[in-house]
Amino acid sequence: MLDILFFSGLVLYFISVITHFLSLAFRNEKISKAAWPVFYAGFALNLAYMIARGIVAGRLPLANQFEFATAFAWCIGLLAILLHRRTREAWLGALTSAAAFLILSFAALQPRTVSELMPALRSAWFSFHIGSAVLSYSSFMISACVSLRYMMLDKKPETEPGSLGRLDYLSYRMIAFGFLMLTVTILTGAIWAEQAWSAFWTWDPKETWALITWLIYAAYLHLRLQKKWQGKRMAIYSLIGIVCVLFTFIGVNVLFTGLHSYK
Amino acid sequence: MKKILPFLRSMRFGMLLLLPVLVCSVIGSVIPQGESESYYAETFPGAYHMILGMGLDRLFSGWVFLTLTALFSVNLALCSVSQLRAVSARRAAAAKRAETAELLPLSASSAEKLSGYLRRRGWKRQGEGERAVWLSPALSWFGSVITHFALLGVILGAAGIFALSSTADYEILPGENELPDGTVLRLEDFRIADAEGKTDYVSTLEVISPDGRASGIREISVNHPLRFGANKYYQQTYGVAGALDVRVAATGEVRPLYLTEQSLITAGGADGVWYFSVYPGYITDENGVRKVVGHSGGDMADPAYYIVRLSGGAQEPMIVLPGESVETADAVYEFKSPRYFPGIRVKTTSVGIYALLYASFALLTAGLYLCFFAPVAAAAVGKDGYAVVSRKGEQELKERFAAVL
Ligand code: HEM
Repeated sequence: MLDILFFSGLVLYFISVITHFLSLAFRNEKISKAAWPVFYAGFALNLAYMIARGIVAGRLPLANQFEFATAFAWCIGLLAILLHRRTREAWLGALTSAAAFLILSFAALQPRTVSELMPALRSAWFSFHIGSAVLSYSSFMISACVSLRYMMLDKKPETEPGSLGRLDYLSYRMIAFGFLMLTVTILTGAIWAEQAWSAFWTWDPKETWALITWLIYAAYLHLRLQKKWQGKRMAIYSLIGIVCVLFTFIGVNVLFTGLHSYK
Repeated sequence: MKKILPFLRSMRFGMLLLLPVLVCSVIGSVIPQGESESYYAETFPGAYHMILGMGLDRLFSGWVFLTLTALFSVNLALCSVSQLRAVSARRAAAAKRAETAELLPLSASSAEKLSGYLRRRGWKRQGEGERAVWLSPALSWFGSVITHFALLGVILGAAGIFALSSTADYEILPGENELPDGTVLRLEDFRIADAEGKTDYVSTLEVISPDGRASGIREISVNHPLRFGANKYYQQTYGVAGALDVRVAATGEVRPLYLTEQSLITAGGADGVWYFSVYPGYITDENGVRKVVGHSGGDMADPAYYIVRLSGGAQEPMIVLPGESVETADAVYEFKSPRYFPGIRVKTTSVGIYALLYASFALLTAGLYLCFFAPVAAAAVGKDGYAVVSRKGEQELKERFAAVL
């Protein structure tokens, strides 16, 4: 039953990606109108799955890479929906639904067994630490989608003058929010580690890469505010940033072992 | 000095330092840190001489990284001070820009509305002229300053922990355990799982500090350390100890013992028992001879002791089960069920460093919130128009004002 919920959500995200791209390719209003409801349905199933899994497990479903990726996909969906309600941008659905679909597909490749929470994870800090990490990764992802859109429009002569500026600013705002959330992730992680293992920081690969990601985005903020870097450069920067985020999320678990490797 | 100081506090210098910090971090994540020499020889056969020679196995406590961090702290401190000193000049400059900015049209009633909105949002009105200038809430001007000072606090707190705090791990057996500093840990109980079988690793113990103060009986478990005096006690690991009572024949005295390693136990000095280990299980072969299986540690399903009895100069290897006794001329050794015992980590740090770190964490979060969600801005509101200037999010503020109007 749980699996049916999960895979139905995945399939709906996939259909939504296809319909969003078709509507953009054919500039067809009707297809476009269908794409968002499909995305909403996928999003609702994604949420229903997380709730059902949380009930079965008797805890927040954020305790392993599968659960994190499922929440990550859902949070991308949430931010995309909120942004779409504000901006009504047609392209937004195509890129963000693709991102949510890819992350949920990654989740589908992970083991889905519901396991008991190990004692170190039973902490009040758990929800703050993982919840803020999901929010931060998702907003960096949305920023990358916005930046990708920027790159697509950058060279087009028919681009409306103000729209590039709006995209640039939106990408910055998503990074600012993501940076705040990543800071909360790192700080709550440090407090939690000190309570569980006695050290705030152990240079575990996950911690180190979270710090690398954080420093990279800190440099972004400074280059933007102090050096007035904007536009294409910052769009490229944001795309490099998301590679770093995904490495922190996936690469570190695959390549290194440590406290966070779920092993 | 006139040239060096501006460089030392410049962002260029900060960025220059950031690059090697990033490189160190990447290297430190690829090469596992703090392992033994033989680990590096096995894992990186072609490169371990270089790794050990250059200190890449302890990169984050090596002089290169520490120097970079120290220089970064100097840069951050100077930069934070200059940001603090620039706050009032920035406010004045923003007010001036708002005063001279081109106005967007506004009716008199809308001007009232906008002024009311700004007042409610904590903006401060400057002067009484025709064109009133409003500055964003006082705290917003300190967002960046708070962020940078808080970061400095985090780095200083980390340095304090690095230099002043120490940790040591101890095996704590039932009864009183004296630590090197004279503190006594009295273990009442240790359990691996609760009544429903859910693993939770809980030690019930009392801490008695060298000056005689006692904590009272307390429980510690993973995520729930105990702070008492200058120390913090953590439930860290656990192990299995062999348990036996030694009944001394001459005096009738009974002494309980818990053993975690090979030991010679003797009452009179000649006869006794060599204790080797406790095993999780045993089998009895067709000749009725017991053989231990597995190794000690893990789940103690069917425990068995491997010992050698020393009696009258003879040595007799034996496998003894809990509940059984071994006798020599001067004592009886009564073996009991093995006991799980906790490994407790004791950490010593000053409370001041904790306070600095936690305050810096809170201020860092608050500072970032101010930076991103309370941008510095100035607005001018006149009878027939308004303007808003901000280095960040000016467009967003204009939209927000338009929504109010
Ligand atoms: C990793 C360390 C650092 C972090 C996380 C950090 C964080 C920040 C943040 C979040 C902002 C506000 C950005 C925005 O609102 O868009 C900022 C601004 C700024 N930072 Fe840093 N910073 C760091 C190091 C430094 C250093 C070392 C310097 C000086 C050399 C510096 C100088 C500045 C300046 C001058 C501003 C602009 C302030 C303003 O105009 O309001 N920062 N920083």
